[in-house]
Amino acid sequence: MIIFLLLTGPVTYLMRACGLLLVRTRLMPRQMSSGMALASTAVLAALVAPSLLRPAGHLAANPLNNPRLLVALLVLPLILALRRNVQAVLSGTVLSGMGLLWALSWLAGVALPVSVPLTLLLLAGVSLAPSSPTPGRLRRAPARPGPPCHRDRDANRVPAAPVSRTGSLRSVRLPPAGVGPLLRSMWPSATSTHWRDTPAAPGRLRRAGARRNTPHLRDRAAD
Amino acid sequence: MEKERWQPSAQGPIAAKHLVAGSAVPALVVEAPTPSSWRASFLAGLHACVPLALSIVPFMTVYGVAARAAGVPFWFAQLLSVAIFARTQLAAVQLLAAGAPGIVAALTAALMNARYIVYSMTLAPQFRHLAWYWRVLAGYFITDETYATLATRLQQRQEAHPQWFLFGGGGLIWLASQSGTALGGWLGQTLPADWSLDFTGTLVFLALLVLLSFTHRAALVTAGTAGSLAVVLADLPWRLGLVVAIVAGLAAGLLAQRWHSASASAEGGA
Repeated sequence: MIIFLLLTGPVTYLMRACGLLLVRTRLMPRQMSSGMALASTAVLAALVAPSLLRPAGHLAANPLNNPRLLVALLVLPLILALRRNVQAVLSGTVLSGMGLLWALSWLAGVALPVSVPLTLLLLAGVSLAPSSPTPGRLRRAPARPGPPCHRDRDANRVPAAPVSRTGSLRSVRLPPAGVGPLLRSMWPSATSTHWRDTPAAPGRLRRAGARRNTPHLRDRAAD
Repeated sequence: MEKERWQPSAQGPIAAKHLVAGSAVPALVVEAPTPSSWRASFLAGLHACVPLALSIVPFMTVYGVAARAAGVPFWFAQLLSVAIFARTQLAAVQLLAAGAPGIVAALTAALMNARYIVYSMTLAPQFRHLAWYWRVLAGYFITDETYATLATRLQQRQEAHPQWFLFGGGGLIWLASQSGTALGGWLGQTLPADWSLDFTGTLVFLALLVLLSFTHRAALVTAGTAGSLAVVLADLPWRLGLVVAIVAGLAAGLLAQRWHSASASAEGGA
């Protein structure tokens, strides 16, 4: 067990360094990077679902008999409400989830414990979250192409498009608040203009839309 | 020759105003000022990662607590934190607590870390002029946080010493990560076991899962397939159901993505 886990370290390192050591100019194909982003989602789902639905080794899908599942269902609205701030989501979920679980345990007859140091630390995380670089900054820049003379130089810069597809903790561009925009961002056929701003939109479409809206390029096209 | 003026902007070089003085016409390419020394790059990386480093401490504290709750020795939790230097050790610890073999835990952690390949390949052109030893060292410090800050930095200006920027930010993140793990290990040792602290890891994963799933349909398909299969196949020996669920979820997500791309291009063609 220890050997396998310690092997994960070098494997992780190789994943980090392979691009720097091997790749010179070519970037990763977009489909491949999207697939890797989905890997994180698949792993997390495969971890979370059994721990919530089979906490004691057998299926317990009734929330009234499964306090962990009940807590998860209760914190879902909080996650959706705070989803624009990743750190706030993480800290708020842990705080509220553990509070709810302890409260339920207390209601069931177990003494209610209070973890002051952990709570203070998590609160510190929440308070620091707004000062973190927001994903929007990474995403907004490439959506506004500069004048043509800048384009060649910008081509050599780090593209920001893969950032939102990697599934990283702070690089996820999340849909705007509210259930309506959230659903529209997932089912873009309802509003095609909104689709160009969503993270799943192909970069080609987004760039094309931005270019059409750039005044000097629009004028050139009119000429 | 007319004097060019560069106005720094938080929105990056593309949105920055590159104007000839007294004119509203976009001017020639203007390179932003670059730090002349490695020390400036190092300090810039350090400065950029301060808030991120402080906010990473609670997360790693949760990892330390979960590791102790799972019965992992303190030294091993710390060693794992140094060796992996990512957030995936929390997943590995959770799997170990659930009785999974080491190879399944390692494979799961490796799959979660696949995103680093994307980071590395995206940054590669900026490092191609460096000697191999700089690139070997820089590889260790690529994390979610350092990648985000360095990518933002490179969007704004050319970085003469990207490796030193990475060392400054990554070193700080590393210190915060190890401190958080140590603190969590101490707290996990101190707090009683009946406080269900292992549930903190599940909550963190749940939050991340919701954030990742509700971005587009392919992710939702991936999460639904992987989650439901993981529950159904949980009784397979050596926790193989987990691996099957991950692979099947990934395949379903890629299929959904391909189908969506095909339908989008068909709509565009029409």
